Amino acid sequence: MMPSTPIALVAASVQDTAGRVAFVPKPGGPPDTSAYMWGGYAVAAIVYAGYVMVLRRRIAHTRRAP
Amino acid sequence: MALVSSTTRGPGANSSSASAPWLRVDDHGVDVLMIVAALACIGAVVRALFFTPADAMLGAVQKIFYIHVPAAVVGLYIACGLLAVSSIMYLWIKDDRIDRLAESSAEVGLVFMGVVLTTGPIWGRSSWGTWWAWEARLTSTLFLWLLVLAYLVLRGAVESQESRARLSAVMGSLAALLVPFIHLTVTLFRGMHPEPVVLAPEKPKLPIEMLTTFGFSTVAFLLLFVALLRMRYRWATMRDARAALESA
Repeated sequence: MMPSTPIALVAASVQDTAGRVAFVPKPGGPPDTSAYMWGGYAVAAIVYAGYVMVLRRRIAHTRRAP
Repeated sequence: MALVSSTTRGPGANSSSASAPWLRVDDHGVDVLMIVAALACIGAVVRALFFTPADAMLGAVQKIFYIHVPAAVVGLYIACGLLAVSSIMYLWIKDDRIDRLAESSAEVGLVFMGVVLTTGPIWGRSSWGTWWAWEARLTSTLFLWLLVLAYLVLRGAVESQESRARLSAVMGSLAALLVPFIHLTVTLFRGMHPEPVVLAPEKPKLPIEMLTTFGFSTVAFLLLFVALLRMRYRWATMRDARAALESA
């Protein structure tokens, strides 16, 4: 069965990757991946700060217990 | 060292260790070691984000390296190593303080490994185009995380203090056996995870600026581990002392 669109036209069209690729390399330098960098640092900060808070709550709760 | 020289047994026998010098905080509850560790981590992060060059190929996301790898070094090698050593020592001399040390290193190690398992996919999404790949390094690290989680669940499920300590010591020492395997996965199996760049067999494959930042970051994470371990151990000591008082 023949496709309705000529294959040359498909190849020449801009492909909508819909977020399936992480970045498109730019000719002027490395890709802008700073959002991932900030995301990674934010996750680490939240995990460590959250654990410190959990430990502080546990200690406070043990101190208060009758 | 007093921590391993005592052979006293029973939950109440070691309650005096709550006032051990290395566990003390000041009268206002300020933990100086935790403050020092937090400042060191902030300094390392500022250096990594603003004073270290970005990778020419990967861009800014490569800077996740400065939290991902130190967290792996501390979480896998140091925390799991401490878990294994203290578990084996507990089976040998049956000291409650060593059991608490094993429990604390497992939980703090779980947090560090959690950071490894969350920052890794974020980096992987940008570099590999996918959040996760079922390849040897990632999968075995996830298995270790699940084993350490199971270790902590087991501790909560056993009523008897002595049985709990003995069973978890066996499980802790066996779980840590996975660490050398995880280290070798990148050479034994063909996968997507890169081979070691700092602990490379010949010499580190990093420029000096990146290597210095990595060194700062590793020391900061090590300090954070010690501070969290101390805090967790202190809580475990208070908890056991209170339980001993309640059962008396």
